[in-house]
Amino acid sequence: MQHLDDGTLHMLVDGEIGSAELGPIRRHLEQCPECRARLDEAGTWTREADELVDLLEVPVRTAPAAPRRRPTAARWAPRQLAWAASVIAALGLGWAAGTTPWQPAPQATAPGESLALEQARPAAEAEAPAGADAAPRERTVAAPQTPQPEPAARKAESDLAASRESGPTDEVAAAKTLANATTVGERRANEGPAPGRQLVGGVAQESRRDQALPASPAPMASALRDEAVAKRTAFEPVTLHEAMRQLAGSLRLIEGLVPDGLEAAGGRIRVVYPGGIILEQWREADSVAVSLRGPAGLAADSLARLAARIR
Amino acid sequence: MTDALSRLFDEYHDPLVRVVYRRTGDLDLAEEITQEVFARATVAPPRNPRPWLFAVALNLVREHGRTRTRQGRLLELYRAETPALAPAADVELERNEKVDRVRAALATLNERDREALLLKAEGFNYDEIAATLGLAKGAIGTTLNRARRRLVEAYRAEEGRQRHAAS
Repeated sequence: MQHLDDGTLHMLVDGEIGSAELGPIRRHLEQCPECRARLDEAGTWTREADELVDLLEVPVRTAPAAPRRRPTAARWAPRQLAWAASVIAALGLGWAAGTTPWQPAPQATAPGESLALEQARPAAEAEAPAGADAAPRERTVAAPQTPQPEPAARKAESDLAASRESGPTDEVAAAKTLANATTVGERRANEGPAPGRQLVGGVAQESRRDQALPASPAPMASALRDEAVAKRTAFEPVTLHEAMRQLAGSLRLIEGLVPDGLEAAGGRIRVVYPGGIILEQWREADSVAVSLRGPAGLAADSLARLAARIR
Repeated sequence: MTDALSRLFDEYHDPLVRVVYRRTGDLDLAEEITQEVFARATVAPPRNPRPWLFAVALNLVREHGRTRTRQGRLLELYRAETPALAPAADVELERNEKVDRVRAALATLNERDREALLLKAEGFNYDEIAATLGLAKGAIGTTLNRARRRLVEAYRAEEGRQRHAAS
């Protein structure tokens, strides 16, 4: 019999070999040390690839990671599983179905909201050159930790996260009505707002609004920005050139992190980083405000350290 | 939403978000695509929902392929402008770097290999992967072999490159 091809070896690892084919394969493996070694290697590749994919956990407001390996193991017919374990054990290979490679996938981080952090950076203003033709000053905004009302779209986003915390039923309901910012906003008004970002400059008064006020869009410095943020789907990918144009050349990045890309909507630019980290920035009169958001589970001091690396 | 579609939503919403998120790295996009998938299922309820839902989702992801290509060019631009990676200050930053490496490694796979790998990670068997991607079942083992090896090799190469750059 010829050596087993790589596809067959992976079918064997994944439990996809039919009973009619197992006999010849088993006999070949008993007689071929090279194929046994390649089978072991296929198992190693599979295990390592699975571990890498597992790192790509959904960052926020989601169910635990898929019970990936349980359906795979369950699909082994009992005699296949027993055969594989017996053959592999008898052949002295280092792994077997149902043991090391088939550990349950790790649970995702607990569901929760993205943290919005805006730090006061008085030093940023001191850095700004005095000349009239200098780049716009940058400042970040300190956000009080108490929950505050948000514009409709932000409320929709935060509300979905909040409802996911309260259970699957609310999560499904919130997801289904996510496109209806008004409906979500109304629910937010009843549930109470979640921690969220603050707006700056002309809309600073929003941060002082009574939480009991009805969920209506907050007054905004820019009507165009108000319309854009009210639509969750408004953010579109943009080129670096366009992003810098909108920010008058003052695009900020987190030093040491490689971004995935840029998005823009209504004068707001998002720099999207792996792992759910988003650096949002926009013009405010002659300055640029920034807002940093991280995934649930990210420690507050980690977010603060990232914020300190904004350049 | 009908009871049947509600059950579909309950069963497949999070797995769809997960697969699309792993495929794109964009949670907002993953949720939007998932919503679109269920909207289409509402119009034309599938008889074989699992491969159908994921096939539609992956098709929608491919429609955003042009976007990803543009972002890939941005990534290269940023790498040229951004200072070398600083040592991780804490576990979260190190994890972000690992995730970044995995994404970079996944990007080296061709589209079918990448999708087959992510569907397998979601618990699909070979029949389901074949049905979802429109491939022959006999090709799935070879596809996964190629995908797994490529992912691990590319990850190790990226890890080595970053360690060299940091030293």
